[in-house]
Amino acid sequence: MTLLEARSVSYSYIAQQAVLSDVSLAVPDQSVIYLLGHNGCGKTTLLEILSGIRPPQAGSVRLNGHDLYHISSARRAQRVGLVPQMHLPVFAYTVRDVVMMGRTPHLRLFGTPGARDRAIVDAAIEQVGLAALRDRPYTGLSGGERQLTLIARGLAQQTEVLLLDEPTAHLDPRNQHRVLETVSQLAGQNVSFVISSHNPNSALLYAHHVVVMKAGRIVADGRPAEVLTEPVLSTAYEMPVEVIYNEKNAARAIMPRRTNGA
Amino acid sequence: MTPILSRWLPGACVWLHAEHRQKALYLLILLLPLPAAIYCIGLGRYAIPTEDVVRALLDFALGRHDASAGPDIVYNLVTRVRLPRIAAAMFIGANLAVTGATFQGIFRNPLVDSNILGVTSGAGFGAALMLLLVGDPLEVQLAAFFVGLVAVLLAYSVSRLYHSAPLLVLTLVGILVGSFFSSLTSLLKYVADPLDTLPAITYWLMGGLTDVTLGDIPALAAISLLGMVVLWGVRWRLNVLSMGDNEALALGLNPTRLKLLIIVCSTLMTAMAVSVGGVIGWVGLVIPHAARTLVGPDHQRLIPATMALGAVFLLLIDTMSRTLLPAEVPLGVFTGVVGVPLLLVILRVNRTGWR
Amino acid sequence: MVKRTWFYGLLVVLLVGAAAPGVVPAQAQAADGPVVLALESAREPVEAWAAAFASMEGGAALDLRFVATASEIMARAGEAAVIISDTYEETPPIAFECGYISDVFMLLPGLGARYLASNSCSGVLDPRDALARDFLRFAISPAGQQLAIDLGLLPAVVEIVDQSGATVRVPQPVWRIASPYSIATYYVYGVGAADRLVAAGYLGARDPEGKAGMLKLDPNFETIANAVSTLNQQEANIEELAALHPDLILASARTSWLDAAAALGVSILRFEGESPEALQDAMTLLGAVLGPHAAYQAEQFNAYYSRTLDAILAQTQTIAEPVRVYFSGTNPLRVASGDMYQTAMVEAAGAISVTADLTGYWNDVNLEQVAVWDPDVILFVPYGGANVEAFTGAAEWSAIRAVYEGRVYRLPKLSAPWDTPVPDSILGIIWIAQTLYPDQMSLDCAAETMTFYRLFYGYVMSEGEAQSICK
Repeated sequence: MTLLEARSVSYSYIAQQAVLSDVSLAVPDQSVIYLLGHNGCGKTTLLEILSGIRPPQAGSVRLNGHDLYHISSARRAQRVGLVPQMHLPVFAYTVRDVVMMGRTPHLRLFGTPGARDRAIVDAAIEQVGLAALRDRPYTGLSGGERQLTLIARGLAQQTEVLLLDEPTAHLDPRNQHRVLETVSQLAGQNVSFVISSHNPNSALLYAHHVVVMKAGRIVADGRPAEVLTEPVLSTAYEMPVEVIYNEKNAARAIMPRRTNGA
Repeated sequence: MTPILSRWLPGACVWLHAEHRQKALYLLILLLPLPAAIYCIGLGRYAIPTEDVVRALLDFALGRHDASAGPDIVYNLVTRVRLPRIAAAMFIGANLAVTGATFQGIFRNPLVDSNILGVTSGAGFGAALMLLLVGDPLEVQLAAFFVGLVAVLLAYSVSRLYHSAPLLVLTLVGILVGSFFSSLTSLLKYVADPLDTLPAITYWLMGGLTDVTLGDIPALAAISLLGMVVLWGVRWRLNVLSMGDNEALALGLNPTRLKLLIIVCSTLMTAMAVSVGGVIGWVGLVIPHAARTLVGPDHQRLIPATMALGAVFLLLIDTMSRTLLPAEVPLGVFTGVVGVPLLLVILRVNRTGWR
Repeated sequence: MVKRTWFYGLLVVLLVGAAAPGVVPAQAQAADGPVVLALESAREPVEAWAAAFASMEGGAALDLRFVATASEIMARAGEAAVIISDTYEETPPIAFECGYISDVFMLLPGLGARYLASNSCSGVLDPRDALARDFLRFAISPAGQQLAIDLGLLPAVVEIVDQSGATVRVPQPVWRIASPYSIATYYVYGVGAADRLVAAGYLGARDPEGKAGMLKLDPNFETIANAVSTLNQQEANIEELAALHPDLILASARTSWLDAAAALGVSILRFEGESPEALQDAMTLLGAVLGPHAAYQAEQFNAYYSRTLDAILAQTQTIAEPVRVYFSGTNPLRVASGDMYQTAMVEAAGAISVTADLTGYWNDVNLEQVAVWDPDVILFVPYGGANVEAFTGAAEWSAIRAVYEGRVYRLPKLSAPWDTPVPDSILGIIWIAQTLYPDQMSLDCAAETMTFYRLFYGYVMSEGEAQSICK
């Protein structure tokens, strides 16, 4: 069953320079979808359009069959969440304050978070392993810790679909592992994820579905084994790519091929 | 200060959580205004014993005052001079402080106060114009109020013409509109009769609560309380709004509408404050910072704390202004002279202690 | 044929018209001109003035008679329309059926003149008396002064130190005066030289009451006030000012555009007359540069001022408890500090100003402070919208003793407010003294007002008008 779907969306920030051209993407339930592509191919824009904050200039986005942009933003935010790339806010909120913001769509008109919200927030913080930093100012954390905080916020939002924009960009392997394992686990429990990434290897490990974009268009779309091949990737990234198979456990690794030297 | 305390109460400091301390500080701040008001109403250049103050207040509150018994200087001073001033100081202080905090939030800029969209400059111009033309105090207040609103309307409308970088454009246009009205005010000062109109304009612009009467209080209280309730209601959303428009959108808010609501509310409150008390600077800038240092940036606590601190701050300033010297010192003088060292002290104390 | 008649007719008219002036003087010499009785020692200037007066438009030949001594002038005053002598202080012992003896016109230092309006009844000046008056006016005018200078009887240049300490050379006579300092304008009226003003600011004459008052004093004042589009202490349209060719500019020490004005090459006098002493110095200063009559008027004013102050002092110094006065400005809580002229006036009137300890121009106070001071009387200014209802109508003020005792008074004004350092302010002091000490004061505001405006502004005020100003 398709939860979230983009149908033939197009977008351009500047006239005549399309960032997205006729892009269609379907997010089934309980799945993890990886979005790969070179810098500037439109991944972030697509995620913003999918999340409901940027109306497409052509095409439509549907949530359970209904036009995403015709439902109220509060209801939409209860169903679809977006974890942006990092940023630094002006005020020194604590980690807990930031993650608590994820509960906003579930609050009433003039409401403030209650005990239940606090419990969910604490659980989300626990899930990304930041319990020790809960009361520390967000602005004082390392890049990776901030990223984990934003992910926790996304988790606290308790949506059906969570879109993550390069969530592991600044994380060490251990934290990457932790985040993606959590994602996998939650996917099994009725949350779907769309993850944009520059790491094809984690796509190999965690994705149910991979979409490759180039210059605003989708050039490949399918299961990881089908899409993450040398011809597709080298075309997409415009560089030589080598896929290494380990016959022992049928795993693969994707490596760039060196062009100079051995 | 803090090292002394930790020597005295080593045991207490051990089991008294940072969190409990912060909560205690927060509650203390919220409870400050009422005792401060009660204390300050007993102060003044005309010495009135405490029991007479209390009696006058009770008579006033219960409507027991017997006007036919002849002029009662104590009753007059307590209810017609001190009481309105204290009420006005607290409402205006709370207004300016909380609107400064909310604007800092929605503009994501800790260096702004509610005049960023020009409401204070516009109100100043409106007042100066009325002083020049008519001089009637009521009309001066009304003009200040409405021209303040017009200034913000102008800033907001003009900024909507530009579609890129809305926040930056709004800030810039606001500054421009503010400067525009300030220049017009200078023009009025130039044209004004230097014997009487010009000093009147200058004194009005310097800010002061000398002429506040009981009649000014109902409108001020109504708008202040209304505005404060609304801003208190959206205090949580301000957190989200201050993270950025896109994130606010993603979290299900409508940032444009919310900002509009906050701007309208804050502008009404500020225009009301300026029309009664003139231009009082520093409060909208300094108090939110002080509050943030004491209770943290979370607007759930920041908004109420700013209101309380703003009320108490201006109350103290006004009390000083009316008791220290025979002549009144304009409020604008004290807010800077007192506010800056106070802020420095707060920053210092907080750094060595509580967290 | 018709055309030729026209032409010859026109020619005849022109010829007759040209001859006519030559005819008139002969007629006038038939002893119909006003008689001028003067000291022999003053023959030279008087003859020069008379000759000039005879040939000017509106003038006439005069019957000049010279005598040796002043007492002879006093004795024969009855036959003259004008007497010129060095004992001008005394009035000749003549009683008129209707008619009057004028005040002194100072023609030269020590040489004073009066005209005897023997034919003028019920306020209407007979043409022959008017001629006498005009002759004296001519003699003290810049033209008359010029004749005296040519004869070496008056200096061609007066060098004087103004109130900013600068030494100023003022070539004589001064024909045209520009007075951007709106207080100094009234000094000019006070010394009787208002007809020389070409452009001036008028303090207090912009509101309807002040304008009406000033129009009575000088119906022409609006022309002077509007002669230059911008003329005040902060700014002046220098070109328009230059186009009026002033010989003298009256400024205050605070006027800011004087460097530009200096480029005009015009003498500039700076005044700083904001205390009783300084006001008197200012009058003397101005009188010294505007000719002997102006100097005399200044002297008279200063004498009047000092006499009045002394009289008030004598009458009030025996009072055990001086009245405590609260002097407020455009707003009930705005008060005059101790530095200001208003405080000096209150003290000169024998009272105490409760705000005398404050400094620095107008101060704002609060009502509690007023309650602490507990003044006996509240005085407020007649400008800036200040009114008595601000005190009596305000609930907050109702418990202040001066308010509920009804002792709140507005200072009077005719044109310039009487609390500003203009010559009229002496009347303000009299008024204050009479208001505060009605039993002890013998000076009557209405009577003094009538005298003052007649003497120093040439304006005859009715008693009713004086009473209504003084109430």
